[in-house]
Amino acid sequence: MHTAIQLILTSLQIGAVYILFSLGLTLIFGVMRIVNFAHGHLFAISALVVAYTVPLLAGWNLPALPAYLLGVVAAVAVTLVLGFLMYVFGFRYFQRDMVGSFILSIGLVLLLDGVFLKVFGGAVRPVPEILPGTVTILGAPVTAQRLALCVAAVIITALLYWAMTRTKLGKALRAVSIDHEAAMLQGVPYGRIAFAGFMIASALAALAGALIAPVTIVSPAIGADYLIKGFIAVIVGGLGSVPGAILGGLFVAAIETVGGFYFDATSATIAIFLLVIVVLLVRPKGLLGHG
Amino acid sequence: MTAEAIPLAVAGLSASYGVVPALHDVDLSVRSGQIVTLIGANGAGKSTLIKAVCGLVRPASGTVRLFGEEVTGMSPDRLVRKGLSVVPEGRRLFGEMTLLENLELGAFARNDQAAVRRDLDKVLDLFPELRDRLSTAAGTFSGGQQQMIAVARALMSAPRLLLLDEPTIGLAPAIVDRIAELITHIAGTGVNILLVEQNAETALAVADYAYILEGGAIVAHDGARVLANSPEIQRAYLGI
Ligand SMILES: Nc1ncnc2c1ncn2[C@@H]1O[C@H](COP(=O)(O)OP(=O)(O)O)[C@@H](O)[C@H]1O
Ligand SMILES: [Mg+2]
Repeated sequence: MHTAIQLILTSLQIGAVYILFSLGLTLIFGVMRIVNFAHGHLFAISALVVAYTVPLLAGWNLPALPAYLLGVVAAVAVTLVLGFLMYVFGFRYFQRDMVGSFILSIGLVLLLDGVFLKVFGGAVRPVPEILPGTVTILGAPVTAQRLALCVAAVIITALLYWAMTRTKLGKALRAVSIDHEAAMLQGVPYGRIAFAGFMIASALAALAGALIAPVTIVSPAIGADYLIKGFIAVIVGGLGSVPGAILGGLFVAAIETVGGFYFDATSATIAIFLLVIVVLLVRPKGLLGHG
Repeated sequence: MTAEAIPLAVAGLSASYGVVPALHDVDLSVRSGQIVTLIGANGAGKSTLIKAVCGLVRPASGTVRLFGEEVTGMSPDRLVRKGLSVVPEGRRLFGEMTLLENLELGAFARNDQAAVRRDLDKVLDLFPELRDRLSTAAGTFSGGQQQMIAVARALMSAPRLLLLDEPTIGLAPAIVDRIAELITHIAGTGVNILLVEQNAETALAVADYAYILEGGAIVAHDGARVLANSPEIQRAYLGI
């Protein structure tokens, strides 16, 4: 029982980040029909900015929590600027062009790998503890930081879900994902909605990166692993589907956690790939996929 | 732009998909207060004409004027704001979204929420069977109901010119009649209409004026009664 609760809690923590990550991927795919392999770098730059600014601010005798919150603001701002540049100078010209956007995003990956290494250095950066202590949930201990990460991720996911179903922008994003031409025929300005979708996705990556920074080891390469897992999550859940991204994120996290606990990390990774194959054989468009 | 400006004037319009020509030098007008129909067989280029007018296909040459203003090549979302609305071929509803969301999207370009609410009520009066199913996913309705929803959605933008691409295709005769009545009713509210159809019998019965499209070119045009009585048209399109 204790083990089960521990495993569930761990799955939720990892899953929370995968969800934020895959929501961004699925949003961009849905609206622009492209896959952004540089999405992991949006996530990475956010984590890097947090890891860079928090020790700096702490050095000026700012307490940990305010230092972190300022760091998050800076990280989100920097990530949004990077996302903006990616869109305005890049992906805007490759909408609905799988091959072109693929080449562009691979180029961005290589470019940003170099830039990050130059700016932040290759060394890993620890972030000082923001929220000390542990909380016990149903007999299983969780660090306060990880719990806060989960709560924040749940709130962000809920807000996004609310926005997608209740606001005019959200409905336009969903309509464009289903049929962009039909959406335009209703007066939905495709270009502006695509831009909004890309920027929301960038913001989600920024928040995911800023949330993960205090509970992990931050390096310029941090995005790669999450990118792969986030991808698997959206493919399993159904590219373009918001509920699918949530379900897929939890699914991948659960298998990774359980597999890693009973076997080892390598077996867990193999299990994830087997899962993808099985899901795609049974439901080629993913669990909740449509178009 | 005057009150008498011609709602739709297409002149010398040509369009192609890559090197495959689809429309050749098409002239067509919808005059104020008219229901105009464009009749043609499958592959004649009817949908291409609709797409060229509404901005989904860029014409190779020619002009499109909407209420006197040249709008050739303008994007669909801007044309909606100029009074154009389209019921596209195959309906193109947002199937996973609810009926209400589909209708709200129809009014996307409008800001006067009170007027939108009034229009929603008016549109639902036309389709009473839809009124208590507003939270049902649009894709789960029957074919006939989906066509009604597509028309309702198009009306939610409060259009001055409505284009319909084969709204009766694949529907039971009773529903075809209902859609025909609906088109007449909509025209009666002051909306100008271009009805694209393969179903010449229904289209000619509803329309004031008709164009015949064959192989991407207009081969005949005249008053709908005149064409309905022309032996050639009867042989080719009415199966008489
Ligand atoms: N997206 C497309 N790509 C290439 N050819 C097309 C496309 N859409 C239509 N066509 C061709 O253009 C011609 C006219 O098609 P269309 O306008 O759809 O005719 P209709 O609506 O009268 O059936 C046809 O020969 C069709 O095969
Ligand atoms: Mg057609």
